[in-house]
Amino acid sequence: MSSEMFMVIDLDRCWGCKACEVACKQELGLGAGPRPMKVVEIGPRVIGGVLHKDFVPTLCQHCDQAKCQGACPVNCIYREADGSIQIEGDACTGCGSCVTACPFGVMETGGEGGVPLKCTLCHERRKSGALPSCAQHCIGRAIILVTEDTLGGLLQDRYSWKTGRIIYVTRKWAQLGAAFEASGT
Amino acid sequence: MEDHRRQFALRMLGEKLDPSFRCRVPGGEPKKRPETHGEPKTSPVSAKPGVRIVKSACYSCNSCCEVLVFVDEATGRVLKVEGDPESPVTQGVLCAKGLASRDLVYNPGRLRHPLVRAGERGEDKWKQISWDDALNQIAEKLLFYREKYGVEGVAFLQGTIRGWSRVFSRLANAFGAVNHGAAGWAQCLWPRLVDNTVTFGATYTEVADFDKTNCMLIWGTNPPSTWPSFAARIMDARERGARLIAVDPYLSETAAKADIWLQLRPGTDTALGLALLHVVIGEGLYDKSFVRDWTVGFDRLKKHVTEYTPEWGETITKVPAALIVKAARLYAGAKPSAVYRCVSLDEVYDSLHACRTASLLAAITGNIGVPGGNVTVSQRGEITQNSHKFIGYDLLASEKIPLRRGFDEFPLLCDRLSPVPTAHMPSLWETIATGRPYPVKAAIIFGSNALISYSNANRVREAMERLEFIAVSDLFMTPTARMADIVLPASSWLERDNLISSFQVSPTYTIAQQRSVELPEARSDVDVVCDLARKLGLEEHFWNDSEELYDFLLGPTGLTFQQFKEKKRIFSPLVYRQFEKNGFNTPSGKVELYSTLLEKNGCAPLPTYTVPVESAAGAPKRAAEYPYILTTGWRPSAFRHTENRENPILRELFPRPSLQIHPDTAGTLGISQGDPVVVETEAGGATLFAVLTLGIHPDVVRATPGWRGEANINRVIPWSQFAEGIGSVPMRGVLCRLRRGTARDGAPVDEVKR
Repeated sequence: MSSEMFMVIDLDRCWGCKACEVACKQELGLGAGPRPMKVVEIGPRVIGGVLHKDFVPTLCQHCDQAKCQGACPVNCIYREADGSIQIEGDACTGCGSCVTACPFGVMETGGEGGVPLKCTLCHERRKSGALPSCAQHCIGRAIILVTEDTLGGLLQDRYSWKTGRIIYVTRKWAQLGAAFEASGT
Repeated sequence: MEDHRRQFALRMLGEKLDPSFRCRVPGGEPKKRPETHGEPKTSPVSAKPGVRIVKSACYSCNSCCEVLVFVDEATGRVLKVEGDPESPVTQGVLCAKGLASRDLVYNPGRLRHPLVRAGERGEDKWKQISWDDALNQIAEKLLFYREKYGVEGVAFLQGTIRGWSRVFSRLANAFGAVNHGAAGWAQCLWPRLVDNTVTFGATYTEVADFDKTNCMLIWGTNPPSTWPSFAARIMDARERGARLIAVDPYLSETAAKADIWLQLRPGTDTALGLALLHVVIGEGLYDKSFVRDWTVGFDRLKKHVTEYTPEWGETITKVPAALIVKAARLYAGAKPSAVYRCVSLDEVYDSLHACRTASLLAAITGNIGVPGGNVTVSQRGEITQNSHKFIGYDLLASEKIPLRRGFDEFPLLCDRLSPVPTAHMPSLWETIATGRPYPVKAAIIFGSNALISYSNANRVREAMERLEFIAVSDLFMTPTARMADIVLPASSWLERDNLISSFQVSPTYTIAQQRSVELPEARSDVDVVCDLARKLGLEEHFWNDSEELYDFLLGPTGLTFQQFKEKKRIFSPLVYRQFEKNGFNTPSGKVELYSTLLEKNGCAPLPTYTVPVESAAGAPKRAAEYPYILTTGWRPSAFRHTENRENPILRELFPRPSLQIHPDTAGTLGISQGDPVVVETEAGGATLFAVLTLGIHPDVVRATPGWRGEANINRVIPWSQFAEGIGSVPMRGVLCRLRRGTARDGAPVDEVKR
């Protein structure tokens, strides 16, 4: 893969079913314990007199300025050609600096030989042409992987957030978010 | 870490949006974005060298999603289970249960040998025996008890089994067992199917044509938890603009995405349905030509629903009248609209009436048999197991059938109109417990954790303790298996072949399930039933083994099962407007809004509201003592019924037996998040952990069913009322009381051995 990839997560389509969590564990050969992908449930809560419940799949953001990368004392965290952040296990001492540095809590200790666990954007799996496991199995079809040139159309008319290669989009929050801002909260 | 993740999520969806995090604010006119979600995924799937891919079908639930099982060629071990991107139904999606199903094979708790009891009943002391010995002993005992107590003295009980089949029912009928039954049936699926039979003359019509619909009325079900491949299609439909109406007492995942959420009181579905019918008829929103040409009884229905105004509906259901009106207008106006209803409508005190209101709504709006509506299942050409012929109903001696428990009271469950004519299980358990009106001394139980999955579980345990002989076939040493004299190790879906036609989810496909791995000693229930039939002298009605059965079923297609495995699936498209050619297979040849078949069977021919026993109006004194309303409808995506608690990955997703309770109610009762809560009725008590949520009404609590020991919510479900004609036990809408649990109430932890 030479082109840079982005994972787009449509929050309007996330059912909160957690299939992605299991798909991820299976691909990485993990049992109970570490959760490189974890769905966070927000709500039920009242916004503007209406009850809302939303879900956010949380995973390594493959940040543009990756704090984990800077924190690694042995420089074993690097950026792949597809833009994803990867850990080169051999050099890792298992010190956990990257885990502490991650602002999103999506890196975990407990991997083989002390190597931290996190989303790899299914770098290995994609070599055969397959989709990332979470994207393939998502029963809301909320997760897709795209190249940079198709990104524009996907972001059109939607709210979106990103710090790196994961882009969260929503149409629902384009309205609700604006309401928050208008009320000054 | 957990806090970090939550804070991260709240940066996006919190009330204080983080502007630094936002990469783009929408501006100007919305433009059409490229449609990428709905397209089939056709990414190639290839395995690494040394890995074999077996194409099969998951049976972690009845959805039967097509999967790829990755197997290590050297060791024969299953490496992983994935969705099949080439599946036309799922396009590669698979739920948590399916993805985690490898554990079924390797869980240390899996039964690996036939066992015979070596201690007291329930003591969990066993001796290994051979399959042949085990089946000989079972056959000998079944024949002994039939000889001694008659055909009514032996019960044939089943659950969801481990792969789709009706051979167990055939064995029951060939044996002469009038007391054949299941934990579900009367309160799972049968009311919907009987409704379809009496209303439309077609049993299996549960197909909602999501791909072409404009409006989905999702009633009493939460597909992302329980019907994952539907969930994907519902989301696709929603993306292209179809509207979504959800009926649920809780703000479920589905309700959270809905355009209209009807938050009804548990168990008041019939009242809601009647009020919807009132609006559609009263405002003239029905399909006049369809009603004229293809229905009977409309004038009587019209008159009948006059009194069921939305305002009346609000008093019963607590759904605002204005919202009922809005939903009725949306459903009727968006045509084509599809109803997707599920088990909630079966688990209410007036199940058939509730189901009928939904069917009648679909019928009078002309949404039957049309693209985007509700469509009758097509046949693919193989012999169906869903027929009285296949289950060998004619093998049962007709003079014995009236001995079946419940026969007089519940003809729609126990007699010919039932998809599998079966005993009324609460009546049968009472008979087993009391010996009245006759003794029932032996039971053979396949694929059912009966001690947990039946309502009024304390009474069921008392009954089971009275049995003299119990044989159980299952994957794990369940509490039910522990009660047995002989336990048979069943194979999981990964270890067996099967021919699957899931009328519920893949109504246009018949799929091959293929053995992916060998687990010595564990055997397919189908093979076991064939063997047992031979030992019972019933071989003339059976096949040598499962493969011979599948060859037989495939006969009309000209394929053998081996050929079919290569082919993988048989497709037949949904056929629309079949009624224009064939009419409806009812006595009148039309849709029977007014049902003559129900009338003949002593039931109300029009869906009618009656005051439930479990309500303040039905039992004011008891309601004062038991002021809260319980529903047991919380089905997490990690579990199916009593299953999956042994699976560490799934258990991690949902670790504890839980009870949803409104914070106001919890506050009044001194209950905090995570506290043990004791739920009590006159039938018994259960202890679960409190989950405080605004998504439920303060008068209502919602429990996860299927847990063992003190946490089994079925302990509190009484047998205070059974649905007219069909005998369903109400589990949605039960009066209860609540208190904070103490150490003395027992630990609300599931006792699953890891």
